[in-house]
Amino acid sequence: MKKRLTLFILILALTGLTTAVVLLHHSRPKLAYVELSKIYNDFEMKKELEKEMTSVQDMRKRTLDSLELGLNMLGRTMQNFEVSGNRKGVEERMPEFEMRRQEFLQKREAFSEDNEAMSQQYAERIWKQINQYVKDFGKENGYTYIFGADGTGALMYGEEAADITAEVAKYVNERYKGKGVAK
Amino acid sequence: MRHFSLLILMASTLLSSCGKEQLAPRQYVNWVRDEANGLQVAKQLGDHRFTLLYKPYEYIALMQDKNEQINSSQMNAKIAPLKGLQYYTLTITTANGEELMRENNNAESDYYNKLDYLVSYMQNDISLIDGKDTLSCALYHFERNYNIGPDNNILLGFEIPENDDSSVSDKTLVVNDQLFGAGKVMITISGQAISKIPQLQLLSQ
Repeated sequence: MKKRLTLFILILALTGLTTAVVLLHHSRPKLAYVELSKIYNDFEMKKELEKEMTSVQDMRKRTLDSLELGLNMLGRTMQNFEVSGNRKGVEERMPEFEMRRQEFLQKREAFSEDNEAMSQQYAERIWKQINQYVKDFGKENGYTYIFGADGTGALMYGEEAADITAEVAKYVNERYKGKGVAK
Repeated sequence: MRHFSLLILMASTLLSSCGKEQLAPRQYVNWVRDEANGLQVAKQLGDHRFTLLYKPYEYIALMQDKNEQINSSQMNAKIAPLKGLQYYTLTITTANGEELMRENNNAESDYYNKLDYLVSYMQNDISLIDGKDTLSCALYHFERNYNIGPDNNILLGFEIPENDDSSVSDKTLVVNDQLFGAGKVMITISGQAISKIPQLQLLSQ
């Protein structure tokens, strides 16, 4: 009788302990962090857009260089006229020089503004996708929080075991390339 | 008698394990639409949900007249004009339930500019990566919903590339988005999901 009672108490204690462990495990939030700069730099979309942006900026630079070269050559011709005392030659070319100078300055300003706008637009697109995929990753894997370490002090410390950067970077790229959400 | 029924049971089990699953028209349609089967894949990006549906010929034929009493010769007649292309529906769903053209407009002209883009030009920003081939749209139709729902459907058709091996390759739709600020949107339907499409159960003639 005594043996049975001891066994019963033992089973009861064991069951209680298991329940407590399970409850504790489930009630504890699942936390992790990612290094944002790494996620951003490893993101395929960022690499593609960067390449696209570099090619557009190079093209614009070439256009500006050719305008500048023409302007410099005209300027040099006018300088030679000035040195040789050909005032008429200088005056004749002045309107053209002024027109080309204006064109160059306007283009340079417009390109600079366009480059900035394009860079901002691309960054917005990239973050829109990264944010969505990290959110999906969190939901799929049952995370309560995923923090973003960006070196600005928002996250000062995280132990290495909680660093899921590599896993998330892989997931983000897979999702970008078209993989659906796991069912 | 008992031996006979056991034999029938064994034979039917063997047969069903050899061939593809056979489904009645309604079940077939539901199977295709069930995201768990992989012919419909969705991607949420900000306020927009992009859903791509791969449509087998039988599915299109069934959706055309919604007749469940169909035999194989009727089905073949419906399928014949569809052959040569692969068909998809891209659905773009807005979070606020509005028509795509009505979102975040500053002027009335924005509505018409977007409509113009969706009707005429968006097809130039859509392609399909099928195995090693990148295909342009062979068929494109933006279905207007006149603001009666959040879903905006785009019906797409692409040629079927010649494939050396018999395996079905993954199909990735690429949308170079110009309207939603999402950039390049890619959605993949796996070849494995396509190869698992069940057979349609048809009436005997």
